[in-house]
Amino acid sequence: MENDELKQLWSGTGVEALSLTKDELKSILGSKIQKSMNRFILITLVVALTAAGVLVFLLITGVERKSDPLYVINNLILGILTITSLISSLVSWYRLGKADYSFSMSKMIRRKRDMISRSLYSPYRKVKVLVIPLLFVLTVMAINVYYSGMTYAEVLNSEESLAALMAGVIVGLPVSFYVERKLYKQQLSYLNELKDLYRQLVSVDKA
Amino acid sequence: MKTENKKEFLDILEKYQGILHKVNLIYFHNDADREDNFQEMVYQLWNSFLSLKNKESIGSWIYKVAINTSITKLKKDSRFVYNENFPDTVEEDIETGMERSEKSKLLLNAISELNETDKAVMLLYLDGKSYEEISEITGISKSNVGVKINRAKKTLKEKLKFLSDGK
Repeated sequence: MENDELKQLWSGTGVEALSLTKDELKSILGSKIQKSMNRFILITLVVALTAAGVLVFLLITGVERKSDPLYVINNLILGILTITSLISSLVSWYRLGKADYSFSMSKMIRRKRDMISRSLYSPYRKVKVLVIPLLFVLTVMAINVYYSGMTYAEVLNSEESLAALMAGVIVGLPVSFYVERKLYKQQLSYLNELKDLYRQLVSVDKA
Repeated sequence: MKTENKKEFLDILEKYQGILHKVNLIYFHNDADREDNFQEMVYQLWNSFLSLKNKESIGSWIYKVAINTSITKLKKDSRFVYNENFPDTVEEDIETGMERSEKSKLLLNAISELNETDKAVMLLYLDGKSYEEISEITGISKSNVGVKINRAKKTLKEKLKFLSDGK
């Protein structure tokens, strides 16, 4: 079989039959843009409303209990952690969605590989495991102290609260660790696939 | 301004859509995945269209975005079945509007068995791109392109040997 024969066979794949009209292409583009916009709006709205709701609750309860410094500090830390977590998740989501595919294949793979590597081996990654149980404990305290009518120190010293907090930490830490490991493994497997792909592309020996 | 850009983009897309269909053919083996990927490629092209500086090499840009989008989707999409074969029956071909000869279908099957990067290189080669253009689109050296093409051609010819033997 000659090289020309391969090209001849290739020209017979019949892609012309799949040609779409300009109106059909316009409709495909329009519906995809709409879908992406809706997703973007929905996720941004959910994050913004959650952040606003948490902030309003923390602000109102904090002002009402301004004579209890521990409670105010609890709410302050909770507010900062919640907002930081939500914003950082939103930013990573936007970044992932804004991938530029107009580079050469090798550059695109390298960029993706480096981006995932950075996120995977970031020193802050391990800190994230502690954030979920910490958020849980602070939220439980913010709600419990406010509705119990007691001070932060009183609630903290009561046996019931201590038991609930211990249970929260005991359940929360493994759950958080499990979620984090799962995400880590997923990203690691994606990273390895990208590394293989890059090796496949640049190496002539492994083709 | 945006309407003008959109019109220009759709003109380009209409003219070059064959590239997207070919990329879809070699990377995805069922209609649902192809339809999904076609939408994604169009969307990614539109996203990078406004920042496209060199409008003289539209073809290369379309190949890059189409191949990169498809490979990204392949790597992310766990539901994708890599070893699925192309439709074998004439009825399926009629349903998808395809008028492929049996031999071309066999070539597509053979290409689908190459690895992801060789598929891209062979697509560009079979579409008549020069080594220089292939090197620019894939980002690998011209000599590497040559080695990959020769190796992939050998594999394809081996797989399609029976076609020549049966003549």
